[in-house]
Amino acid sequence: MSQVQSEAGGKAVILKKGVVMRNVLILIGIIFLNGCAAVGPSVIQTYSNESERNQIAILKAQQTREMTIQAADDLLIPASARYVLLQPGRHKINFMTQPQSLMVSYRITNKVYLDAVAGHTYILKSKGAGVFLLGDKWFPEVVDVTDDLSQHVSTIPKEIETK
Amino acid sequence: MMKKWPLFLCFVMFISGCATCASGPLFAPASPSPDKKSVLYVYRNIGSLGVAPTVKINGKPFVVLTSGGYSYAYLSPGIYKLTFQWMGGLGYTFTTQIEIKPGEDLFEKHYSTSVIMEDIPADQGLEDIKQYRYVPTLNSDF
Repeated sequence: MSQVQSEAGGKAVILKKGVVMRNVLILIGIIFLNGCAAVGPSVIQTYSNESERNQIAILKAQQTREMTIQAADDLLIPASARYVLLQPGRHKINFMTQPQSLMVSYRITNKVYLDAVAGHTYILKSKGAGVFLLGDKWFPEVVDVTDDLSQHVSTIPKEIETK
Repeated sequence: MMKKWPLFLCFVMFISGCATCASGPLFAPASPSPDKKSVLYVYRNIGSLGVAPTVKINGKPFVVLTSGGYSYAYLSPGIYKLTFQWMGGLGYTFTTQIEIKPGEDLFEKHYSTSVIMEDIPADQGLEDIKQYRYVPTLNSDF
């Protein structure tokens, strides 16, 4: 008869095979449920039909104090949103930025245009303000990160704002 | 003698303020472009204080926009970067993007107090800009 032996608190404990299997199943269940439980914005829902992803573009919204996407084509984007799904074509992205230097801090609402290509992933990035806030370094650029595998979103995120 | 200082200061401020006020002819709509380009009107709020900013389109100087002044440029449809730059870039710089649509004129109004530029709808812009005065452009080809 097969048995598994382990030690707990210095005492030898004999467990029967059925008990072990039950514990393993519970453990697998916990791991599985733990994966499902993470329903926050960072969860990405995988679609078996990849053509769905190929029909849209994704703008990753790195919502920070310095840079917040406020709207896409006048559709309000909540501060908690991590992704904005975009149809291919031109979109107006409204953002709020707070460039800050040692001397001064601004709060600016502004807009950029994005010519979205289906299947691509974009990020709105600011180069930063610099010590004296010279020039327009704070003005963000829409960066295409499709070729950067660490940034590219290959599947459609679950928690998104769609436009 | 000491009491004359405030008066002198007021005079200097008055003179320097006038130096940044537009004095050209009152607004007249731009004549239609022969190649059917759209017209971008840029104007600066009347009563704006401080140094007049240099307005750039895609990095190319367009006009030094004094308070109460307006100017215009003929642009092909597309996205353009519009920059307001003070003191040759040593001061604050405000940048935004604008979209020129075919057959649609665009009005961009700058409010110096809040450092904000606003898209004004064409019908509203035509009414709003009437009291502004023309400022000659530095470049017309963008």
